[in-house]
Amino acid sequence: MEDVYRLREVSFNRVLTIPALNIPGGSLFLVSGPSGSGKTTFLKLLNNLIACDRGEILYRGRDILSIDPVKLRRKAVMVSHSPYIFPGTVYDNILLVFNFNRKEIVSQEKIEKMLSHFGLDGFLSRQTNKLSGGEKQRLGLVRALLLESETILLDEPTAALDEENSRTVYNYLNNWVQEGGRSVIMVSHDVSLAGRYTDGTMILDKGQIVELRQEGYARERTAVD
Amino acid sequence: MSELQSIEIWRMAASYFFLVLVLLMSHFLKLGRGNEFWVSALRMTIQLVLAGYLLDLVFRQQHVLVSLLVLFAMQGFALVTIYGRLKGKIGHRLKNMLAPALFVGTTLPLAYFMIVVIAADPWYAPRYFIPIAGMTVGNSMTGITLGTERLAQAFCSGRARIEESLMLGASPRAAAGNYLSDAFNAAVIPTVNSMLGMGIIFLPGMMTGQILAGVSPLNSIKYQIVIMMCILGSVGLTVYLIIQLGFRSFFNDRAQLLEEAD
Repeated sequence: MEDVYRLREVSFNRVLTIPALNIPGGSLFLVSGPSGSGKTTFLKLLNNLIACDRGEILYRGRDILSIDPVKLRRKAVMVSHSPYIFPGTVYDNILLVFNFNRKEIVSQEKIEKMLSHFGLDGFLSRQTNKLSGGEKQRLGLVRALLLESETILLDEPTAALDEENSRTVYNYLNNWVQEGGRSVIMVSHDVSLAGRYTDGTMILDKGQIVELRQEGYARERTAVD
Repeated sequence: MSELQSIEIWRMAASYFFLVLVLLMSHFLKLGRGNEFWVSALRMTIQLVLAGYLLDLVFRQQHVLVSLLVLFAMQGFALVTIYGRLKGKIGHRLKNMLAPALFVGTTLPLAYFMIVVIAADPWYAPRYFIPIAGMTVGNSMTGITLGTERLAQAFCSGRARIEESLMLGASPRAAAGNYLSDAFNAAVIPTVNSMLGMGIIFLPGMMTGQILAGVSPLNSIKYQIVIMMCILGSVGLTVYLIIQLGFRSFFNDRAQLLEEAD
C-alpha cells in the first residue's frame, strides 16, 4: 500500500529532526520515547498544526503544503493527549465534530454501539462536566473514530486508562486498521503493551530517531489479546 | 417653547460652589484627594471653553473639509485611547486591524445618517455632523475596546479548545466559533442596555440638552431615537469588523494557530 506519510530532512525548531521516514498506509505506527523527545511535535507536524522549518512532508504522495490545511486535517484527524471536551452532552460533542467536518452525523445506533465498545454505555445524553478523566479520554477517541477519517493521529490515547481499557483501545485500533485499511499513528509511552499491536515503531530521544523498527509490516495482521 | 435662558458669568461661577462643597467634604473625610478634584474641574472648564470656541469657529466655516477633519481627528484620538487601554493585552497583528474597523465602522453609519436619516443640507453641516460624529465615535470606541479585549482573552484562555477543534478538522472560523459571538455580545450589550433604560430610568444627555435649549420634547425624542439607531449601527458594525478581521490575526495562512498573540 502507498505510504501514508513520507518525511524528508524535516526539522522543527531544534525540537525534532527526522532525516527520512516512510510510514506505509494501512498500518498502526507507534511513536515512543521519553518526555520532551518531540513525539507530540511529530504528530502536530503531520496534522499541519505547526509547520516544519525545513524539509518536506508528503501525505499520500502530495506535499502537505499543497493540500488545503483544513481538508488535510479532515483526512488525518488528531486527538490530543488530554482531549478538550466541549461543554454540553456527549452527543453534543459528537455532533460538533461532525459539524466541524461538514459531515452528516452517523446514526444514533452506531454512536451508541461505539460508546458501548469503549465502556461508555448509556452516556449519550450525559453532561460532559460529569465525566472522569478516563471517560473524557475515551470520548475524545470515540468522537474522532466516528468520523472514519483515512488516518488518525493519537497522542497518548491510553494515558488516563487502566490496562484493560487500554487493551480495548488497542484492539479496536488494530481491527480498524485491518478492516478499514486506515492508518493509525500513535504516540505512547507504553511500548511493551502498545508495541504488541503495531506494525512499526519509532523511538525518539531529544528530537532524534534512536530506533526505527518496521519489521511488523511483513507479518500477517491478527487480533492480539 | 421659550428660548434658552443665557447663564451670566457670575451665575456660572456660582456653580463652582458645588466643587467647594466636595473639596470641604474631602477635607473633613481626610481623603487626600483635594488636588484631584480641583484639577479635574479646572481641566473640564478649560477643555470645554476651548471646545466651545473651536466649535463656534467650525460651525461658521461650513466647509466639507473642516467637518471631515474634525471626524478624522475624533477617530485618531479614539484610536490613541484604544491603543492605550489595550496596551500589552493584544499583539500587533490584532492592533493593526483596529484602525480600519473603527474608520469604516463609524464613517459608513455616519454617512448614512447624515444623507438618508437627517438629510441635512449640506450633508456635512457641522451643527449636525460634529455632535453626531462624536457620539458614534465615542460609543464605538468603547465597543471596539470591549470586543477586542474579550477576543484576545478568549484566544489566550481558550487555546486548548481552539487547537483541539483544528485538529479535528474545524476551519479557523468554526474553531473560534463561540468566542466570536461572545466578544460581539460583550461589546454590544452595554449599548443595548442603555437603550432599554432610556426614557424611563434616565433621560439621555443630548435630549436633556435639546429640551433645555427650548426644543419640544416630542421633537427631541425623534432626534434621540435616530441617534440611538445610528450609535447601535456604528457600534455593531465596528465590533463586527474587528471580530471578523481580528480573529484571522490569530491564525496564519496555513490555518495554524499562532504561538503568540502577535
